[in-house]
Amino acid sequence: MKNLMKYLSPFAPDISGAVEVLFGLGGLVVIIDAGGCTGNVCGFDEPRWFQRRSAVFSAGLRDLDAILGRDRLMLDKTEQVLRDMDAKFVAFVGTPVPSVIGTDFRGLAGAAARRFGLPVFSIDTNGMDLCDRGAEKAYLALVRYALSAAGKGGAQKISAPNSGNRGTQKAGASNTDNRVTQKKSRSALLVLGCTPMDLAPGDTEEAVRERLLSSGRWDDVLILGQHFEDLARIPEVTGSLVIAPSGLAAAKELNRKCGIPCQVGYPLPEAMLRNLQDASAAGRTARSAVSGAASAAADGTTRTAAGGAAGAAAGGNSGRTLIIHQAVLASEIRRRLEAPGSNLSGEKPSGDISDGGIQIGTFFAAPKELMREGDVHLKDEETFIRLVTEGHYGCIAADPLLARAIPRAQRETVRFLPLEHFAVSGNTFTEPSALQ
Amino acid sequence: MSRTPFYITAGDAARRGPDDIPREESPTSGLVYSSPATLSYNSPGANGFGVKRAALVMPESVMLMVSPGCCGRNSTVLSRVSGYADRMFYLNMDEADLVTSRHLRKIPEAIREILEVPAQRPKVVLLCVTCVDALLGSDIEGICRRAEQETGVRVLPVTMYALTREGMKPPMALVRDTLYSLLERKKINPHAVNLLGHFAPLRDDSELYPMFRKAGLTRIREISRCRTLEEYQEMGEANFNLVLNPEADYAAGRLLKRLGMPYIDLTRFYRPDRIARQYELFGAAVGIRLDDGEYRAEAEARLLAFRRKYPSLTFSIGSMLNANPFEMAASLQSFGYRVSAVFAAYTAADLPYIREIAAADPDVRFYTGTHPSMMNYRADGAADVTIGRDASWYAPDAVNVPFSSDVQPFGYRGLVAFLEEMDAALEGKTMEGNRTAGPPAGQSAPRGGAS
Repeated sequence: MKNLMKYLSPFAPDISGAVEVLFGLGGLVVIIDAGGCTGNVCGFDEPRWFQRRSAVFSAGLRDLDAILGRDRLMLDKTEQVLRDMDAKFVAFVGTPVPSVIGTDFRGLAGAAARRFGLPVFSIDTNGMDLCDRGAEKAYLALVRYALSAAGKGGAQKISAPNSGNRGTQKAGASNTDNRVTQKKSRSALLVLGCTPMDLAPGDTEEAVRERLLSSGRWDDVLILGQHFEDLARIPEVTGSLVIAPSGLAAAKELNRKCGIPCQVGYPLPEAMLRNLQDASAAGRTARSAVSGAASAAADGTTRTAAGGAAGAAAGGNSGRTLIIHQAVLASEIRRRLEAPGSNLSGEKPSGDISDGGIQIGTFFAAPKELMREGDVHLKDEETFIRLVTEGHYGCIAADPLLARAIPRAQRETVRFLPLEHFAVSGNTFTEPSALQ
Repeated sequence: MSRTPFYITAGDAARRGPDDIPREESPTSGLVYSSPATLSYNSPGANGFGVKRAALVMPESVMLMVSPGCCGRNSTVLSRVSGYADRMFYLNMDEADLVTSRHLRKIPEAIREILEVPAQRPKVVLLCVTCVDALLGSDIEGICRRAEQETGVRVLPVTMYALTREGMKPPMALVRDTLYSLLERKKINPHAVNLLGHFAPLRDDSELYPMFRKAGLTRIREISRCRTLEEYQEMGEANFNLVLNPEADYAAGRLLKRLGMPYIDLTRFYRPDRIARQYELFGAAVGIRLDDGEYRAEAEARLLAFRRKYPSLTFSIGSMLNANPFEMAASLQSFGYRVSAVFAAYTAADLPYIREIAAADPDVRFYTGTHPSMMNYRADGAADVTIGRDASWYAPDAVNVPFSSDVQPFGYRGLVAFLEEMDAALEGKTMEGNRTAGPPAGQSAPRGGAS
């Protein structure tokens, strides 16, 4: 049944995606809810909330507030908080409640901006879309503000083309063709889509930045969402890199209005690729053991969907591989695994993870720039189950929570490589003890 | 420009009385500040029982949550941590559902599908709806009745309406009503009593069990100890209900009206003299004598030993603990200890304790954790020990005693359990020269100002 989750549980909603982008920028973030949405966003989808202070508030709506649409009261309360802090901006983030009562987000932002004299971002999330959609709206709001503040709301192009990035893919309008390899003086790269929600397992924003800087191609790397002051530099960046689909719309807007070249790709942590390769190798060894060619145990990092070694032995790499994550990361992993001689051990052995062909699937946005024929936009649990049932996969790399939805028959044959995705599992794996 | 967190002293609160409680004590007076210490306010299930987990106390039940995906998101984590993932199902709404309410028509089909998933067919489906359906005015009771007719399984409404939190029938009161709504009146057994109010049982060593049995109340039942719907139905023979948490008063009132099942409230105290007095009054009310002498003597001896071991301690108290924080503060003062702060909003019902606190020390500060100014709170190092899971956020260097288990302490043995947990935490500090229990793992507490 469409939209019914019998084995999985809800993924991070658009509210969380929007707040993730705004979280570290030093603003006053008001989630227009009764409290529960704020609890979910902060307590389960924003790992940084446990480590540092921020100013995230619930509007604390009660039934009469919703029925009477008391926006003025909410602005009064917001003004009261502004007396207690030096906010760089105010953001209103929507939930199902304003969606039902038809809150005028644009009007709210206008009234707040006039009253507070601060930048105001009004993000019309509804709690029904997924996190990438909310993050996309927040990125767009930031970029539009940056361009407007710099007087570049119109089609103004920055003359210098920017540097390229090995492992990235072109996207967007014609200006994305401007790939150059030489380093410009004081070249700066703007990274979009870089939030804990969509990073590779174990990766961090700072690590992404360090890897990009260490490539030597850029003098500076700005991660959109880390520092509010960076917004003023956006019009001057020499290129943008989108590492998750949530950043694509804003990058395209920068390209269209300022001519900033946009690339799409994920600077993968080598350790993560190694882990995947190791997991693949362990699975292969287990299969060999069954055929009597060798004896080995399944590696602890590789398991069948049922969780045991037997399935790995029975299945191995007999079919295609399915990688499920956010589309940029999944696509990048595929690209690296398919590249001739690019496996981390230096030589690509037969029976490799990519031998049967690799498809990617995503429950989140599936930009056409990244999707090949056969790749799948998973609309719900039912789509996933059908795909796994009919896809004849030998191996699935995905968040471990998805293993619950793999049908029993496939559990015995499909190898399952854990590829954690925070937007799917929340802090189930990273901080399980935070709530115990 | 105010940069200090709002607080009121015990002396001021006592003097102002019930008619002049500062508006800052109400969460709806301003925006609600979100910190790890207030997580349980916004998301009660994060550190205990929220609506979903509470409803699933119903034996042989599963839950179908019909809502926008965001409402069920915390279950992704909590249902696995708390072990009810296999009993949760979700029907996610989309924007078209908001306009057409078509999601309501899908419910019977969804129920039929989820009934096939568990190895044992569930007997009850809890239909959980949220703020959206509250605003749409959906007739959830009617939808449950129709779903029952179409699927042949009992379907109960669970309304997670955060919008009504401070209303007459808040979600945590309504979910208790739902839990007891399937009870049918059986022949009254004068030896049977139900304990209402908690979603987990009392501690096995609670004196209530042996004292009641000795007094002739031999059938003591709690819903959380019922493994089957059949066992649950045996609660219908109770002579009376004992309400151990005032949030169950609404449910108890409905049982009185529907089944003629009377109820009595018992309050959780930590002062032995108060505990004794309450047992005395309760016994008189129901015509039994509760022999509490040995339990009181044991608790007082343990208290004396604790005081000898730790003669001088300063406490601060949060709101996520198995106690009324103000009663706990007054009790600790009566034991001879100092209390520096209580991090909890107060209501008129807390004033008797507040007057006691003020009499002992009028300068005790009451902070409201959800108040926006709390983002400027800085730990002052005044407390040696913090009580309550949230309190560690406010005093990260103090020894923390969470005292917030699901299994519930009560009476003398509740006091003993509290003393034991404190002793263990303090021993840990002595042994390690460090705090033994800070903020919940993975959380770090504020040391500087707001960024």
